[in-house]
Amino acid sequence: MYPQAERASLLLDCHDPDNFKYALTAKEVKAS
Amino acid sequence: MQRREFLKSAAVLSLAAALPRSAWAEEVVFAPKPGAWRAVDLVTKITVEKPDGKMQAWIPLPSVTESEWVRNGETTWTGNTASATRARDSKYGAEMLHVTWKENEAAPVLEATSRVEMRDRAIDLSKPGKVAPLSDAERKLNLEGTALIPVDGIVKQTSDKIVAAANARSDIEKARAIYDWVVENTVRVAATRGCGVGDVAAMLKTGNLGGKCADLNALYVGLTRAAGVPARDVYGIRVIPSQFGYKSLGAGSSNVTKAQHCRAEVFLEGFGWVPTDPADVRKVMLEEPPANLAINDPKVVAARKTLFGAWEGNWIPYCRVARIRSSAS
Repeated sequence: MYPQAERASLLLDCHDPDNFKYALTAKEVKAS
Repeated sequence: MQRREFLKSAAVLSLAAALPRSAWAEEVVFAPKPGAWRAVDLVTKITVEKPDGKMQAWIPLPSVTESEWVRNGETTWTGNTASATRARDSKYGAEMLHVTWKENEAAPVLEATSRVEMRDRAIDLSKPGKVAPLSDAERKLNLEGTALIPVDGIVKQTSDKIVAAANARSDIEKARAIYDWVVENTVRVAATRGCGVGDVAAMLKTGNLGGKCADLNALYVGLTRAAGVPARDVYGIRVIPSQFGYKSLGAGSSNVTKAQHCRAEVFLEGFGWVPTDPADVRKVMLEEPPANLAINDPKVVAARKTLFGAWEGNWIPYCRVARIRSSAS
């Protein structure tokens, strides 16, 4: 369930923040 | 403090000190109940460092929809991608956003926002009802072994031993016995990368039953399937704090980059898919303040009792498969 990415056809390590940076944020909003 | 209030407090403290440990456990309230829906905007922002050559990415999208506890809203995205396509895994229904960038893109970036509504789940396991049986295809899918979760060999042998030791005969007795075994025999290892690999056979062969949620709950799923009871993992992310005060079972802030969490479900006749999470019992033991709680600590006892049949709606399920990229259709 982690984002995945490839650079120059090589899969980046999704746990290596020096090469593949991502951030997830969650904000509660009003339910419909 | 007024004397009368002090005496009242002192009386409460004296009474509390005299209570047996089991009575303390009754005071820890961990009781998710289906109630009001809560909504969250989950934002995933990706940046590819040191851009070079062909670049592409896959972003998991919330793709579990169950009318009783999770509703997916719209997903939107922005960025400097050359293409962006929603893809869906044909076997597990997992959805992802597949994006590509131009080879000369200097600063590849993508931001996706998904609106999800969810609420607590709780199944009263004392009151079976009429539930549609699983289709043959669903039953087969949720009983079969996978590369990392085989249901034969050492997994089957271990499952048989657990079931026999507990004298478990019905599906619910088997599922409960395996839940208890996982809680009592595994350990959460903080140093595990991500949520763990979930190599169930390797765990049993080496005797190393340590890991995180994708290890411990995969072990539960494998052992339960091997006992002939359909079970499945659900991969997701914690997004808001626990409303019951469990710091270890909720998001600590709006930054949920490392809040991924895998749960599990077991299908029981008369109840349908039942939520469960033995891995979170071990998480409470390791992390809930003041940390390293004993298995008979009231917070652990309450979590253990609740997490076979219920879970909190403070978590968004992504999908029912661990790795999205290789499953893309």
